[in-house]
This record gives sequence, C-alpha cells and structure tokens, in this order.
Amino acid sequence: MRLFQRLRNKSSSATSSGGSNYAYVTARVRAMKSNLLPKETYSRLMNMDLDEITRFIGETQYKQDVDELARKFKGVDLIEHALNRNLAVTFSKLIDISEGELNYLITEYLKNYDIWDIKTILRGKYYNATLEEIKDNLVSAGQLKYNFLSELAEKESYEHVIDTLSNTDYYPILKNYDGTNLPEIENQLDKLYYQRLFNAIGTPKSSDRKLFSKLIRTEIDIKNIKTMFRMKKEGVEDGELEDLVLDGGLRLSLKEINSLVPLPFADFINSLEKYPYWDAISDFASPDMESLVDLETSLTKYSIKSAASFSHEYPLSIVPIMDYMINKKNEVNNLRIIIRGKAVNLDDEIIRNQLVI
Amino acid sequence: MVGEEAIMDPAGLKAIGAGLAVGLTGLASGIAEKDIGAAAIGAMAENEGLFGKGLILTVIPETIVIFGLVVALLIS
Amino acid sequence: MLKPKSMTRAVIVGHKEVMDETVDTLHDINIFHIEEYNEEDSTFKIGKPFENAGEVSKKLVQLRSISSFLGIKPKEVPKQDTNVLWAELDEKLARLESELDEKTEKKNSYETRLKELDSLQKELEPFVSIPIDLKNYRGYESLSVFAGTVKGDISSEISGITNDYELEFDPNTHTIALFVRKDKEEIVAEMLADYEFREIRVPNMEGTPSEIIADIESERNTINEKITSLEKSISDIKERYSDFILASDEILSIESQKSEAPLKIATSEHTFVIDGWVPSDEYNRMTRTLESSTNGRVFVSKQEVTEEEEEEVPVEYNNAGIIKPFETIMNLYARPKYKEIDPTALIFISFPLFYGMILGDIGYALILLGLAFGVKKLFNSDAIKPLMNILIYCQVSTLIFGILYGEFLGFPLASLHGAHGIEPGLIAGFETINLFQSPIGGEMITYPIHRTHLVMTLIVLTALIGVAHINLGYILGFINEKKKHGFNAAMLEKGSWIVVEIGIVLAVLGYVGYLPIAVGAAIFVIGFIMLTKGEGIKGPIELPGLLSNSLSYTRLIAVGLSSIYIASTVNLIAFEMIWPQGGIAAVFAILVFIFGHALNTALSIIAPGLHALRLQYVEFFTKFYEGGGKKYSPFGYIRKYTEE
Repeated sequence: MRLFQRLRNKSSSATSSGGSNYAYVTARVRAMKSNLLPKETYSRLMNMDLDEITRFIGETQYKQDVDELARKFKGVDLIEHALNRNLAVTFSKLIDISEGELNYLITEYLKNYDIWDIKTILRGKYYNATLEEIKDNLVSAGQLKYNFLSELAEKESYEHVIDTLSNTDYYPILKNYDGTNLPEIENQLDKLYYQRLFNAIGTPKSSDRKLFSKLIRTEIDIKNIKTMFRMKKEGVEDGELEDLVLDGGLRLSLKEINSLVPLPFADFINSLEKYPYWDAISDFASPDMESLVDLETSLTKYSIKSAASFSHEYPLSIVPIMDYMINKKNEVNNLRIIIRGKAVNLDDEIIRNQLVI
Repeated sequence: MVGEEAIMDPAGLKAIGAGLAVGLTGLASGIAEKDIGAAAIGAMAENEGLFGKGLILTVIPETIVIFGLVVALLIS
Repeated sequence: MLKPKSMTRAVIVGHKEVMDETVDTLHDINIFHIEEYNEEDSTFKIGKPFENAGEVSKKLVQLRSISSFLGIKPKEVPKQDTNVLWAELDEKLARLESELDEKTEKKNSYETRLKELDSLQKELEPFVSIPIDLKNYRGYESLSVFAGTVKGDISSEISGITNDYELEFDPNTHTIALFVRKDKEEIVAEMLADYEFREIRVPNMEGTPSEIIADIESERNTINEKITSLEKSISDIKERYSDFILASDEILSIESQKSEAPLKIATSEHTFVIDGWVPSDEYNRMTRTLESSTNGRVFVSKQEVTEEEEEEVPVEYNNAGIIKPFETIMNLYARPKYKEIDPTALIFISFPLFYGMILGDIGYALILLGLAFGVKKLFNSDAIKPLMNILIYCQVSTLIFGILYGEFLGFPLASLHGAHGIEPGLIAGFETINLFQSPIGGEMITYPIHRTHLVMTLIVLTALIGVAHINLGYILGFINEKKKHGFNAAMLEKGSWIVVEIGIVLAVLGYVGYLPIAVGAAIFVIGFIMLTKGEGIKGPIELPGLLSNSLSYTRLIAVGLSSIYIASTVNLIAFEMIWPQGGIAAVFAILVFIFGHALNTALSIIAPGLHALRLQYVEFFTKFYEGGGKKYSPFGYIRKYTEE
C-alpha cells in the first residue's frame, strides 16, 4: 500500500514539475530566431521611407499584422501597431506551445508586459497623452488581452483605470496611487514582478534554473546601472533611491548601490570599474558625458550578448527561449527607433546611434 | 510430467527470441526518437526548409529496429 | 551533370545617370544575381531607392491588405497588358478601396448594433415574465420601486409590513418588481436584505419586456439578413476585382523590386557599382545587352574568384530535364556548394532503385502510378509536379522488381514450394522455376524470386549493395576533398576508409586461409593511422559505423519482408483464427481482413519512400556531401499575370 502511495506521489509530482516539452519549444524557438531580421537589413532600412519600411516588413514575419492592420491604420500608426501586435502574437505563441514547468516560467516572465502596459496607461493619463499615443505603445504579450487594455486606455481618468484593475494582483499597489507618486508605484510594480518571478524560479537547484536566475539578475543589474546614471545626470536626491532601484541584482546588491550613489560623478564611474559591466560602460562613461544614449545602447547590447552566451550553455532549457525573446524585443525596438526617427525627420546618424545591432 | 515442463519447444524459444529482438529494439528507438521528433516538428513548424534535416535526425535511431528485424529474420 | 552551372563574377560600373537604365535592363534579362553591398565606407554608400519607391510601396501595402482581407488566391488567369493596367491602376484601386470601405463600415455598424441588442436583451431577460410596462418603473413621487432578485417567497413578509403594495414575482428567475409607499421604503429594504435582495437596473425604455424582446428578435433578423447581403456583395467585389488585384500586385512588385535595387548597390557621389554573378555562358549576352541599352556608358568586367569567395558563389543546378525532379530531394537536404559534386544524377538512379527493391509489387506499382498521374493532372502546381514525377520513376522501378519478385498486392503470382507443401499462386499454372543454388545458406534461387524463401541470401546481397553505395560515397568524398584541400588531405580523410576496408577484406581472406592474416592486419593498421591523422579522434570513433551503415541497407529486404509478414498475419488472424468460429465472427473476420490490408497498403506506400530517402541522406550523403550553397536567384521576375 505504501509502495502504491509512493508511486502515486511520484507520478503526480512528475506532472506538476515535469512534463515540459523543452525539445520541441527550443528547436522551434531556434528556427524562429533564424527568422529574425539579419543585421545587414538595418542599414538598408535606414535608406527607405516609412511606406517602404511598411512594405518591407510586410514581406517578412510581420506580413499578417501589416495586412490586417493596414485597413485600419496608416503611416507610423500602422507600423507601431503591427510591431506591437506581432510581438504580442509571437510571445503568446510561446506560452501556447510550451507545457508544464516551462509554460509556467514563460508565463511569469512575460508578465512584465502586463506591468509595462499598466505603466504606459497610467503614464499616458498622467501626461495627458492622446488615446492614440497610448494605444501605440500597448503590447498585449502578457496575461492582459489587447481588448481589455484598449478599454483601459479609453477610461477617462486613472481612478477608473485602477478600479477596473481591482481584481488583479496589482491592485494592492495601484490603490496607493494618488496621481503624483508615479515613479514609486512603477518601481513597486517592478519589484512585485521580480519577486514573483523569483518565487516561480524557487531556489534554483538545477543548473539551467541557476542560469535562468542569473540571467534575470543580470537584467536587474543593468536596469539599476541605467537608473543610477540617469539619477546622477539629472541630480535626483538620494532620498528617493529606494523607490527607484531594484533588489536582487547579481553583482550589485542594494547595499553597494546605496554606497555608490552618493559618490561624486567621477568617483561613481571609477568605482564601477570592478564590475563585469565595465567593458560595456568604459568607452562611454566619463564625468563630462553629454548624453546617456550610447551608454544605454551599449548596456542593452551587453545583456543581449550575455543571454546569447548563456543559451549555448544549456540548449535544452528556458535560457535559449529567453535569448530569443530578448532578441525579438530588440528587433521590434530597433524598427521602432527607425520609424519614429524617420517620422520626425531625425538625422540618420542620430537614429543609427540608438540602434542596438 | 516433469520432463514436459522442463523442456520447451525450440521453435517457441526462437519465436520468443525474435519477438524480443523486434520488440525491444522498437521500444529503444521509440524512446530515442521521442525528443528528436518533437524538436524536428518544432523546427519545421517555423521553417519548412528544415524538413530534410529534421527527417534525417529523426530516423537515425531507427536503424536499431532494422537490426532487430534482421536478427528476428535470421532466428526464425 | 554532377556539377552546378559555371558562374562568372561580373562587376558593372557606370555613371549614376544611367543607373536607372542599367537596373531596368538587368531586371528584364533576369540572369544577374546581385551580391548585396554591405560594407559601407567613406566613398561608397548603399544607394537610395529611386523616387517612386515610396509611392509604389504605399500602393502595395494597400493592395495587399485588401487582397488578404478578401482572401484572394493565386490562380490561372489570362495575362493583362501592363500599359492598360498602369493607366487605370490608381483610379481602380481607389474605387476598390472606397467600395470595400463602404461595405465593411456598414457591416461593422450592423455588427455593433447586434452586440447592443444582445446586451439589451440580457438586461431585459430577468423581467421577461413580469408584464409591467418598463416606463411604469420610474417617475413616482410617493412610491418606491424595488426591482431585482431575491431568495425565496416574500409575499407573506410584505403583507406583514403593509397592505398597500403591488408585487410581481417570477418564480423561475426569482425576479421581483415591488411597489410600496415611500414611507415604508426603509423597512421594506431591510426585510428584502434578509432575502438577499440584489437590485437589477431597469432599462430606460417603454413597453413591456416581452414586447421589447420580440422587437429585438425581429430587428436582429433584419440585421442578419442585411449582413448576409453585405457579405454577398463583398464576395461580388472579390469576384470582380481579383484579376485586377493579382495583376496589379505583380506590376507593383516588379516596380518596387526595381526601385529598391539601389539598396543592393554601392554608390558614390557620381558612380555606381553593381557586383554579382552571371552564368558563364550568359556573360557575353549580358554585356552586349547592357552596352546597347546604355549606349556603352556602363563598363562590365570579369573578376577573378578568390578561394574565400567560392563560398559565396550562387549555385544553380545543371541537370538534364529528366533528372531535374530529383533536385527537390536535394533541396530538402541542402543545395550543393559551388565546388562540390552535385549528386542529383546519382540519386536519380539509386532512389528509385531502392524504392523498387523495397516495395517490388506489380499491384501497388499500378495503383500508385495511376495516383501519381491523376494528382499531376489535377493539381497543375509547380510544387507538386516534381514530387509526382519522382513517384512515377519509383513506380516504374517497383513494377520491374514486382515482375522479378512475382508479387501482386502482397500475394505471390507463382506457386510457392514451402515446407508445408506447394501453395498455388494467383495465376493458376504459374510454376516457380528453380535456377541455381545460392552460395549462402544453401537457399535455392528461383524465378520469381520469393523474398520469404531467400532471406539469408538477400540480407547478404543488400549489405553488399550498401558497401558499394557507401564506397561510392567515399570516392565522391575523395574527389571533393582533392578539389578543396589537395590529394594528401583527400587520401587521409576519405581514402583511408577504403584502405581500412581493404585491410578488413584481406584479414577475412586470411582468416579463411587464402593468405597470411598479417597482411590484412597490416593494411588495416595503416588505414587506421591514416584515418586518425585525417579525421582526428572522430575517425576511430566512427569506425564501427562502417558495419552499421552497411547493415542498414538490409532494410531493402527487411522492410519489404515485414510488410509481407504483416499481410500473411492478417490473413492468418482473419481466416484461420476468427473465420472458423462461424456466425457473426465471419463478419468480424472480413473487417479484420479489410482493415489490416488497408493499413498495410498505406504503410507499404509510405515506408519505401522514407527508407530509400534515408539511405541517401544518412548513409550516402554523410560520406561526401556538405551542402549549404547559396541559391542562385537572379534579379528579375517571372510574370504570371501580366505581359508587356
């Protein structure tokens, strides 16, 4: 009888933690990655105008999105919506095709899009953005569906938005929003996201889980470094620090950040030397740097590169899937940088510098 | 009585051997092909051009069954 | 044959003024494969598209979205004149869009109305059996109205509070409509709270709910009719415009290809440089055409191809028409590289041969032959045609082997001399003829060849076919390697395998006693050392593969045999195990027979193809074939719907 019990336990634990179709999903994701735009494409895109770019991406993976949305939107709006929809469809597909534990991890990871969308809507309401502007930025790649999000965006005020979200997990944080403390709320949402993601990962025992956790924590580090540079450049008071940075970074603990931020700018830069991110920063960080664009681009490149190198270590894990998601998101970002730059007639050189290729 | 129980018909033993040869090799290649097949289908779903490579990778372990089959044919 | 088409690297240089003509000409002749320009430097930049590119793209996006909305599929239509098409394109496209917009907008508004009606009906549903006009629910000064659901019957409770009330109750939905004096409102509300009263908003309308719902039903019907007629007119639009959409998509695509050609071209302030490949035998024609169309203002020159550039050369097959279908099989694996042997012609022989050896059945051959011809005729598609041609070749071979094996749908045509006496074949009086004794296993070779009686001989024979095929692979590998890295490398990497094999054969001969065993062993060791030098540690590891690869060819007999055994097992189960039971079992026996043979037929159609393919890909190709050549795709367009 006890043996029977043990067998039962074993089989039930197998269905909850195992049952993932890693082979299928990672092979498929690899094929999807080969469908990403090659880097030579970008210099050609730079020579095209908006209509040509629309047509061009309409001949690639974005075909269905461009075809279906072209009857509703025109110009920049069309590309923006096509890009966002494609991103949402692609990532939702990953959720659909994965099973078991893998599905759970991807779902948790993609919840950052829910948070992004909520932030976008609240920010839009805060800055009185038009409905179109808000909708241009919505990506329904998480659990919240596009129709629901667009209804949210149509609400008159942030109070209504928050009321509508009252049965989500984000409500306890959102209800503290008083119309002024947006950065704090945003940070709390991020913290909640990472907290839940780390919960999902659990205490990583297997090597691929460890790698996944490492990847996420690198992401946090890079976010924190970007935040710190922005704070130093804009001279934000130190008191708000806790509300702006995230805990759980791989190399930079909260304590270290706390000791770094009060330093004068030059010393701050020097003390970053001991971190592995220095290679990505060193060429651009100097006490008299004017813009953060180059630095941020270089940091983003760093995170893409580290995801790629991790994904070779464990081909049958969530890491290559993460690697794909990061690259896909970057492709959409690059395309968006180009079209937005073109729409406001930015100089080619400026657009080029922002691209992460 | 005892003699009848102890000695089995050699033809029966052959048949069992042949059955084991085919059955076990079939099982083995099935296990081996499980993940390869899933991966091949996944890759093909995104890029039809990978059909050839997918097919090859999937059927590589299947040679074991052919060996099993040959052994079975030789036994029986 | 055995080699891809020879290519010449050509560079076209000219003044920017004639770039337009040059691109036009190149597009028309459709033989020049442009090598895209990527390395930008201070003098040469990637060119800017011609002026009309944006306009053309815009129309294409518009057209393609309409085309995908209407679900237009490629089809055979008479070719249209491009001049006429260009003249009417703008106006017709605008008309198409506005017609479509009008219809879809109307349809959308109807659909929105339908949704409104649905939600209205939902709101009304609770009140449906309460015959009170909705306007009577509101507008009182001295009356309070409670409309909603309760748990249980409240009539006795309410009469305990007041006599002055009006109550309607629907026991099915538990909806109440209760009217009381205003001064009793609070106490009634308290009482209702005990009955878990939940208020339902009364829609702000006039008329009784049942009447309104009836109205909704009829409105919904009219709207549905209208939507159906709109859908019909949309499909009318599809009918009327589909030729136009297909044709104008084509001319716009061509125009956009041309106008964006500069994106592949290096341009400086005044000049342009187009780099690319042209089939060597077309080089002169291209030069002449370009010179005449630009009045000699472009300069075309041949370029030497360096060793690194050989990887870049686009590959175009160069096979006779009869062999061409097998390029599909090559493409499924990978296109050959430029300097590599193109094995299409070899597959043309070995694939049908293996297929036929496995299936070898007159009946199946005839069925599949008919099927292939039928499909080829039915779907006149470029994708299916080569596959059907391959199937036809395979069936010819199957037919020949079928005659050799004397098999029809799995049954022997000739009589069978087995251990259990003589079993007659399908053709009465067709006796099996004994030819000679096989050296292996003492089996008798007969005509027709009964595969079930020659298992040992055929296993050895097929393994030997395997050895031959694999060695052909090593020889091809030797030639490839010699071309690439010279004789020594080829000898070490591929020749060593053959030396090892010779060593094994001599050692076996030595074992039997023909010559000293040491000779074979010595040659084997020499081969082994060469192999380790050539391939590194990988070589010795793959050595046992020599055996398993040759044995893998025994599938040529094993797979065919297994399908014969399945057939006879089905017959055994149906007619010797179930049939004798009589009665209802007879029906069951027939079912088993039909189902079993249907399954076996399906298997014997699919299996030979897959196994023959696998022997090419896994056992044969791995010995010499790299693949991964770039496809030769000349700058141009093959028109389907239009003509100049």
